[in-house]
Amino acid sequence: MSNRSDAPDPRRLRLSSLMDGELSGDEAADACALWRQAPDARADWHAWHLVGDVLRSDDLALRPARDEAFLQALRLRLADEPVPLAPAALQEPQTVASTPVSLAAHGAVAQGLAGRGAPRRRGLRGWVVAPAALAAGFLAVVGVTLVTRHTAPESGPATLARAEGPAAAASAVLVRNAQLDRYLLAHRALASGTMAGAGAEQRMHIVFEGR
Amino acid sequence: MLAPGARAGQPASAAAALAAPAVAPVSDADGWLHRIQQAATGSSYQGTLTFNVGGSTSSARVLHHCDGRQTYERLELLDGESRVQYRHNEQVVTLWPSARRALLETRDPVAQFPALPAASSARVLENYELQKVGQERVAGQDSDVLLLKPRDRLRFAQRLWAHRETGLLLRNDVLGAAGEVLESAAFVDLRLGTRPSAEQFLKPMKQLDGWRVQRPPVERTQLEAEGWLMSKPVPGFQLVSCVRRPLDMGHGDGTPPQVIQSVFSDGLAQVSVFIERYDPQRHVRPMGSVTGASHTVMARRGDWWITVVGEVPMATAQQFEAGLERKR
Repeated sequence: MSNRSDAPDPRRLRLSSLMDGELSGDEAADACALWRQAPDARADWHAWHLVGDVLRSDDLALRPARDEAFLQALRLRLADEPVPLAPAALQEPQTVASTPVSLAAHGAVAQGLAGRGAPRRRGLRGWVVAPAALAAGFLAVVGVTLVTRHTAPESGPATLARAEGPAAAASAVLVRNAQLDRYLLAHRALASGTMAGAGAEQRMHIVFEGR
Repeated sequence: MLAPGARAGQPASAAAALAAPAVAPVSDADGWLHRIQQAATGSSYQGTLTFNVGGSTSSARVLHHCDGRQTYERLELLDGESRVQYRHNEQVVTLWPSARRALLETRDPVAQFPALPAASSARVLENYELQKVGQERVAGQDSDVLLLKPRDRLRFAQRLWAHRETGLLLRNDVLGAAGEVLESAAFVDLRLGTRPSAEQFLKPMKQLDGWRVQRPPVERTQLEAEGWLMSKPVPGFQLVSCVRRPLDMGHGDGTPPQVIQSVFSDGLAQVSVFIERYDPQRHVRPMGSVTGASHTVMARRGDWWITVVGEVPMATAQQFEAGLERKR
C-alpha cells in the first residue's frame, strides 16, 4: 500500500501484498501467520480495508467497534463449530472450461478491492484463492460475503479453504455493491424516474465475471 | 448462467397468463394505455406504494396532485435512510433530512409507477401486445388485469392492474421469460381525489436554508458528438436522451467521475448505456449482474468502460454493449 508515509516495514509490505492479491503459497501463509500473531498487523489490515470501504461509499463508513464485535461473535460461533480447515478436494473447473467467463462467487471481494490503490489487477484472483491457512475470521474482516467456491484453473496447490462456518452456508453470490448501485440509481433516476427499491438494500446477483 | 427464475416465486397465474393461447389481444389497446397514463399524471391521489425488487421490499408514501396544468408530487421513502422527494412538473428536489442534503434536478415528466414511461402508446404497441387477462381486487379497489406481452425475446412482459373506474395503475409486475415475477410495484392503500394545496409541495422545495444544496451539472450531448455510434441498434429501442453527468453527487469530496448516459426505450423498457474513461481503480473486471428486472453488463473497451443497465433480459443488455462502436 502506498498510503503509509513511514519507512516500509517488510512485514507490512507483505501484508499489503496479500491484500492486493500478489502473494501465494508460502508467502501468503507467512502473511496470514503474521496477521494471526501480531495485533498491530491486524489493526493495519482492518484500517486499510476500512479506508477502502469509506472511499467506495459513505454507507460503508461503519464504526470499527462494529467490525470488532462482529469478528468476536464470529470467533465464538466458529469455536462452537467443527470447522474442517483442511483444504477441500480440488474442484474440477468444468464451468470455467466450458465458458469464457467463470461463475464467480467472489464479487464482493473483487469489487471490494476497487479503489484501494492496488497497483496490479492481476492479483485479485490470487487473493481470492487464498491458502488454507486463511481462516474464516480473517475473511470476515473484509465484510460482506464469504467466498465459498472458486474454480480458477490456475489456482495450483493453493486451493481455497472452504469456510464451512454458519455464514458460508448462505448464498455467496448475493452481494451488496456500492459501485453497481450508483449505476443502477443513475439509470433509474434518469430513465425510469423511479426510486423503486432505493430505500432497501440493493441485492446484486453476480451472474458472470470476466477477467 | 443462473436462471432468473430460480430467484423468484412463480405464481401459477403468471405462467398461465403467458402460456394461455386463449387470451385475445384487446381491441382498444391504444385507449387502455392512454387511460392509464392520463390517470397517473392528470389525477390526484395518495397512498402507500410497495416495491419488491429482487427479493428486497421497500415502501414509499406518495401524494400526487394535479390541478389541470401543474403536477405536484411528494414521495417519501419509508425504508433505509430517510429521503423525501418533491416534484413540481419537471423540477425535482430530493431531501436527505438526516444529512441536511438537498439535490436539485430537472427531470423528464413523471415516468415512475403508477405512470408508464412517457412514450406514445404506438411505440409501446410496436413491441408489445396488450391482452386483457382478468379482473382482480388490489389495494381495496377493483381492477382490470392486463398483460403487455413482448413481441420478441428482447424484452420482458409486464402485468398491469388498472383501476376499474379511473385506469390508475394499482400494481405493475415485470415478468421473466417463464412468467415469474422479477419485480413488482403496487399500491397497498390508495385514496383518490384528494385536494392538497400547491404550497404543501412548493414550500419545502424552496426552504433550503441550512441545507447542503447540490445541483448536478447535467449537459445534453449526443453519442456521435462524443465519438460513439450505436452501429448495431437493438430492435425496437430508440435513443430518447443522451447527457453528460457526474455519476453521483452523494459520496466523497472529490470530483465525481463523469459519465455519458444514453437512455434507450422501447416505449416501456428503458436501458441506460454509460460510457466513461477506463479507470483501473474503479473498473475492476467485466461482469454481468442482476437485481430484480435490472440487468447490468460492464465491459472494458480499450480506454473506455461501458456499463449497460436496463430492465431487459441479460442478452439484450449484452446486445447494447456489443452494438456500441467507437468512431474516433
